[in-house]
Amino acid sequence: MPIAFLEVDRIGKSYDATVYAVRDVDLSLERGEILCLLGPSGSGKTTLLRLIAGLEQPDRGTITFEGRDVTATPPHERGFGMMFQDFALFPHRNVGENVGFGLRMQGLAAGDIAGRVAEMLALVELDGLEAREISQLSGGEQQRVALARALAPGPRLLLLDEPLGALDRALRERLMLDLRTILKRVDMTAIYVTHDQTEAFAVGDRVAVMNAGEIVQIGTPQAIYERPATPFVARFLGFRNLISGMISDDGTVKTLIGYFLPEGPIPPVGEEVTLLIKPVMARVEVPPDLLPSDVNSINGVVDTVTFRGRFSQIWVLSRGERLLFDAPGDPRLHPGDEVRIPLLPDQLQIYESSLQ
Amino acid sequence: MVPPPVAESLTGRRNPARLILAGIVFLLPIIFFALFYIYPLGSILRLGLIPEGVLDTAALTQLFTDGYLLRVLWFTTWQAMVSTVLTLLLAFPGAYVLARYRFRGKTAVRTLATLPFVLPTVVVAAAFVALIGPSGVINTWLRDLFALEAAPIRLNQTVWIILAAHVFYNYSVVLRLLSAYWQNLPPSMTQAAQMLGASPRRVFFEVTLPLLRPAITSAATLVFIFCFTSFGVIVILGGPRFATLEVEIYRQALNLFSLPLAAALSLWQIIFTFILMWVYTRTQARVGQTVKAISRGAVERAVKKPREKIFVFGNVVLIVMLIGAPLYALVVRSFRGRSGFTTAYYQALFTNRDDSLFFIPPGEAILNSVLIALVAMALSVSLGLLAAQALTRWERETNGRKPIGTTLLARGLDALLMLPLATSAVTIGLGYLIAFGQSPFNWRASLLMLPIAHAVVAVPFVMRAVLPGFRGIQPALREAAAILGAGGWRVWWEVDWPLIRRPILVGAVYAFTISLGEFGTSIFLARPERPTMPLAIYRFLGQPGALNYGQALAMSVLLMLVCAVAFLAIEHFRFGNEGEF
Repeated sequence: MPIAFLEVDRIGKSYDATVYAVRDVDLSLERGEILCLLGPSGSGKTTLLRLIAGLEQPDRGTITFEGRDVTATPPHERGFGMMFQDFALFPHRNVGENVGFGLRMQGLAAGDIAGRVAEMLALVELDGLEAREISQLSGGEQQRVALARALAPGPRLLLLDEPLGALDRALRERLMLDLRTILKRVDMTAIYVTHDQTEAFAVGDRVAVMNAGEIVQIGTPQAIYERPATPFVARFLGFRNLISGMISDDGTVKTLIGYFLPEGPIPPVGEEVTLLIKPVMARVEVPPDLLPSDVNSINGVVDTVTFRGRFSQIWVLSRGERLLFDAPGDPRLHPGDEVRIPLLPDQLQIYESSLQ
Repeated sequence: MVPPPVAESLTGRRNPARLILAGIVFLLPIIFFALFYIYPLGSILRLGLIPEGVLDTAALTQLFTDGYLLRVLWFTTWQAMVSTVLTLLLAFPGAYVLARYRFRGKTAVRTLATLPFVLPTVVVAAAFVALIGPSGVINTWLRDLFALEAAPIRLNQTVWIILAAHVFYNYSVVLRLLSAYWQNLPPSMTQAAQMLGASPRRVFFEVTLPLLRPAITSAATLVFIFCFTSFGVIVILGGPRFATLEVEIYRQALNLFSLPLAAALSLWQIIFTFILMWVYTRTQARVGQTVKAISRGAVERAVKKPREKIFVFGNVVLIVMLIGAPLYALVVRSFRGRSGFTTAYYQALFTNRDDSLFFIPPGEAILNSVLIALVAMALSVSLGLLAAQALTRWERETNGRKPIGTTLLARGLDALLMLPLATSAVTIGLGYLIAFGQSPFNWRASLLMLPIAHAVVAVPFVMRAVLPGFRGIQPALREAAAILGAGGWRVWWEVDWPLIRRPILVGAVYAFTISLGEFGTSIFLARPERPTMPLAIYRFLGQPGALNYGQALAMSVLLMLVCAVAFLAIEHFRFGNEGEF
């Protein structure tokens, strides 16, 4: 097995005796890969990033970079780059001096620095803005200067701490794609911290979902969206329909709103489980026949319908449970309509844990 | 043009008689300041430039031609510079500790560190006498320890004790300014530099220091101003050998009766302090536009590594020793007689003895001080209120429109009322001595002179306390109250008063404390038979004998207590939660 580019081994950090910020995390990264750490605030993703940067010292565990143990190496000797949420551009220096700061620390000659700065500014499409003051830049420009500054010294690993968090939504949408394009163009290995699922999926080759100081799932965006590993991940990705149930004698999942048979292996009879119903609404039958619902279908009453353009969001009430479904276009449903929703086995997923 | 009072502006009615009355009321602060600030300064100008009825610049140029005066000017500048540098060096690590670390007792340390700033100079001087004077705590202790005949440490009347007192006095200024600014610097700045490959040393010189520069220059300028105009510390601790420009003005006027030269020196002092104050205001403006304020929790960190523990602990010890030791010595020494603990010095303050050097018992000095402070407080608060009311009115009239007459009026009044900050105490004292010792305003004998001078000195502080309150009263609030059925006075009582009562209280406490501890002006204006507390302390310290010494310390302790209580009250009411006071 080849040595990983970056290897984080059982790293742990706590700020006080009872609460772990990062709890025995393992992580490995390939050269040229972009990994997104995704999680709610307080999940430990920023602490993990700062541990890798060397800005925090771990209580235990090791960090190995290109086969070398860097756990005790101070941040300025690790050769990593970092982008901060507030960009942390030096207000007492202009754009060129900011971008050239790391090069000056490396002891490069003034001429070489100027050339490299120009090159970096060209990369982020801010050519010729060397003399501009930081206070004169827009938010998007600041973000790009921060990126240029982080990339200029040629870091072997780039760490990004919510680099778009300070910007408004529309700008973020555009910049996250630019960011990935630039990182891929210079073949940068990067770890990118965000709490925004859209951002993580758009930027990352792989995504690690964090909760309570631990990585709960790691994989490609597709794999994670396809099969969220825990109810927490499912909920964090925006899935709303999580219902508690139990495995009945015939191997189906028995819930308040009916019996379901998902794809894949089924836990033993009597096990308490959580069922995830993905919101795809392929078909709606109105009015429902009066038969009791079959396996893998839900009877209910339409509660609210929100038209979103390409699709509509429909809240359905079924025996006290509120379920959310997405239907393409305008399904022509109205509050109060009685509906039956047939589900496909691959829309269903079970977790061997009861809902909290 | 005079703006209408509250009720009219709400309803749109304009009554000419009330307009004129309002105008007179709003003009009062200006008239008062013209008479009791501009006129005395003008008298100095006239006497300094035209001593015998014709223009004569001989006295004016003497500062730069006379060898002795040149040495005074050099010493003034030199000691101010050294004091400033020493204070900055000592306070820098302390500011870092307060800005970046979280530890138990931090609030107490911060409060203690701010205390010297509100102490009167005579108290500071007395505290240093009690600490390292010939019969101070340290010398007594060393003498007992090594059975010495004479005091081993002889710092009294040397430049070292002056520098020590200046550092003590200004340490809190630097600590407060610097740590507040440092706290608002995002830690990501230094971390970004680290990630770009800068070693801790380079981070400090390339990022931290340049980012702190506005706060450093601002604090340095302020400390320099304080030390440049130092008076009480020099006359009490330095003795006759040392003179700053400020001390020299006093000696020329009151010891050598050379008023023209004193006036000429005073003119230079006015020029110097105005320039310095202008520099300070400029730097202060840059400090104001700092990086956005960030929450404490985000920047403070716990003390963990052994190295950090030593560093934080060391600085806390330094703060406690530097600030605490002189104050501790003052209190301890004031209770120690020849045979141990005694309250004799305190009792002596309130008993009339025939052999006392005073015409009156020192207890009366306390009464004088309190009475003067009360009158000064009432005067400066009323002035401040009238001025603040007029100022905010005028500001609001031009809100969003291009500057007109009232804008200039507002700016002019604002600047005028701040000027006493840039005028040294001795200058004001001398100005009064000259201006009110002759017709048409021959009022020098009046008991009101001292409270009036104190009020002039205190008005800038009152203004700074009350103006934010007045500016906070939005016209919309008054309009809302009016629409809800409140009449003119009712609006004032329900809207204005709750918003400004706290600032007024803070301003009043400021004025009271300033008057109580004022020394430089009082030494010119107080009548010999009616000394104030600081003057009594000064006289006691100048007399031989254990009882005089003890009484000086005892009175200093009393003065310190009053100031400390006032300071805590100001802190409480300025930052405290809402509620009745």
